[in-house]
Amino acid sequence: MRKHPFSILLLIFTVIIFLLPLWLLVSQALIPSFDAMLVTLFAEPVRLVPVPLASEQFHLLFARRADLPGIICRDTLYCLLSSAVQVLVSVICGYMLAKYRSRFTKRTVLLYTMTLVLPMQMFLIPVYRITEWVGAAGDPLFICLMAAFSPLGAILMRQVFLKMPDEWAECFRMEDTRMSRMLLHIVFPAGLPAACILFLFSFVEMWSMIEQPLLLITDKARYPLSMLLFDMRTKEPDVIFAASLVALAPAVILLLAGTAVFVICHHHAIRNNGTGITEPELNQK
Amino acid sequence: MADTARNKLIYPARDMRWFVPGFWGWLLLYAAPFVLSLVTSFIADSAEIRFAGLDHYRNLFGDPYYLMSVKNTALFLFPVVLAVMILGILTAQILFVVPRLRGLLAIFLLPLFLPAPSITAIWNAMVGSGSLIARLLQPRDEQWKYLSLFLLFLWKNTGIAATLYLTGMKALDNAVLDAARVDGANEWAIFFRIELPQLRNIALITLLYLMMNGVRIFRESYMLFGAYPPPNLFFVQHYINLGFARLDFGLLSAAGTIFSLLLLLVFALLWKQLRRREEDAA
Repeated sequence: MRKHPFSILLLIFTVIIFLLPLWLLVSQALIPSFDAMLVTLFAEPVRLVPVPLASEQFHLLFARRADLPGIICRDTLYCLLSSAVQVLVSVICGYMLAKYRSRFTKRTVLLYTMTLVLPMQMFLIPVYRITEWVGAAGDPLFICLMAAFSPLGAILMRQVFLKMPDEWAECFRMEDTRMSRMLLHIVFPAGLPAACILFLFSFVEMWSMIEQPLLLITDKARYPLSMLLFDMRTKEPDVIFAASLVALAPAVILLLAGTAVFVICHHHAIRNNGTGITEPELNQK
Repeated sequence: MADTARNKLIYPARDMRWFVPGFWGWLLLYAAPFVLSLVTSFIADSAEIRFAGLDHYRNLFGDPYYLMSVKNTALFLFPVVLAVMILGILTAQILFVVPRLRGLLAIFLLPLFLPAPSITAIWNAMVGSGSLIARLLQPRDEQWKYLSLFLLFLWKNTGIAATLYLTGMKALDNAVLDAARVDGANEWAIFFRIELPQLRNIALITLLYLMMNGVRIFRESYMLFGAYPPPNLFFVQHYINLGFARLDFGLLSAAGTIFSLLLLLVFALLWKQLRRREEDAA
């Protein structure tokens, strides 16, 4: 390490800069609401340390917005459901696109990737009209469905399964030919660490959505938390930092839980490759 | 021949029925709307269906706001993607050379997993046009807002770019790097002469990913500056969103189509390069 003192100092400085916004958010959420309003509206400098320390913003927030816990629970449920479906669909599609090599799958990969780079609005305008035709305009479930079938997951999981040895599937096929059992015992365990990351990605992506509710949800009572926060920035600047921190909580809890699962799965995957056979045993065979 | 027969045994075509639900979901919610959008861009009226030819496209090319939005999107996207790529590779290089610090990568990745709506309030207080730093430097308001969004993108995406580069660096042949070190090359010479040329594939994948994320910067822009941002941050997505209220779906679809075609052109060039390199490597 002594060889690169400047590089290391630069890196540590960058790490501090990267953590600063998160620390400042916590710090601003713990100052009195009047001070928070001064920071938001009147360009008072942000407080590096929350002095005077107060939980007033949180009390005010929950007193004014009695419906906030309900909205958080509803959004969390929608995001969890949608992310779970996306992981399920992506693992299966990703495996198929990686292993079942044909002209059809090759073209599908290209088309999936193409739809990834297009702006969301390109899909939202026709989807809005379709929801109008089927009488489901403004239904948040339609947005969940869109997120669940996003091509990003399938492409990510495909990259993971490309590296999976064909011998695993070959071994399994000798004993059992059912695809459902193969998915359950080989494909899902092998893709679990990546699936954890995909779940987190998908959750945060849905938790932060703006484009979809802006165009698809017409009833403001059905707006997700992300749109509510946007409204609060101008209407309730004295509690915005507390609201931002509260909105951050589910994502951070999930991130910590996801990281723990990822680490455990990753170690497990290294030890037994998801097949129940340890690496040395596999080499012996 | 034997390989193909073996593959058919391990991966029989009948298994493809498991692919059907996911494929149909994508087809109905992404592919079909895209085609529908393309068709709508040639239709005159949303109430009665009439072929309009290229009318919407002609109108768009005569609309200064649309041209401005395309120009702004490009002027934001290219510099910011380039900056993230450079910062990402430098971070990855330091972490590659000093393996003990690789745990710090988690901190660089953290912003990617933080929801944008929770971050924009504090971002505005920290580096918004009314912030202390902006008052000290007194820049032009719209330039400062551009910089604020630029920094937010940098903060969110440097971690993932560094992770992708580091993955590529770990896959490099250590024997070559060690041989260069024995010959007396310093770390930066190894970086520029040996590592960078071999990281072109990873660089293309990173570029593709960042382009995809760059198009989504509208989300952060909307949270920071609302539906009416400063003129230099008026993106194509703002144009479409504002036009949505007029219900002129034909014009909006044409606006989306032109923008999509430009993005697809960039994507096709990157994809072609990537394929060519993969074939060369094989």
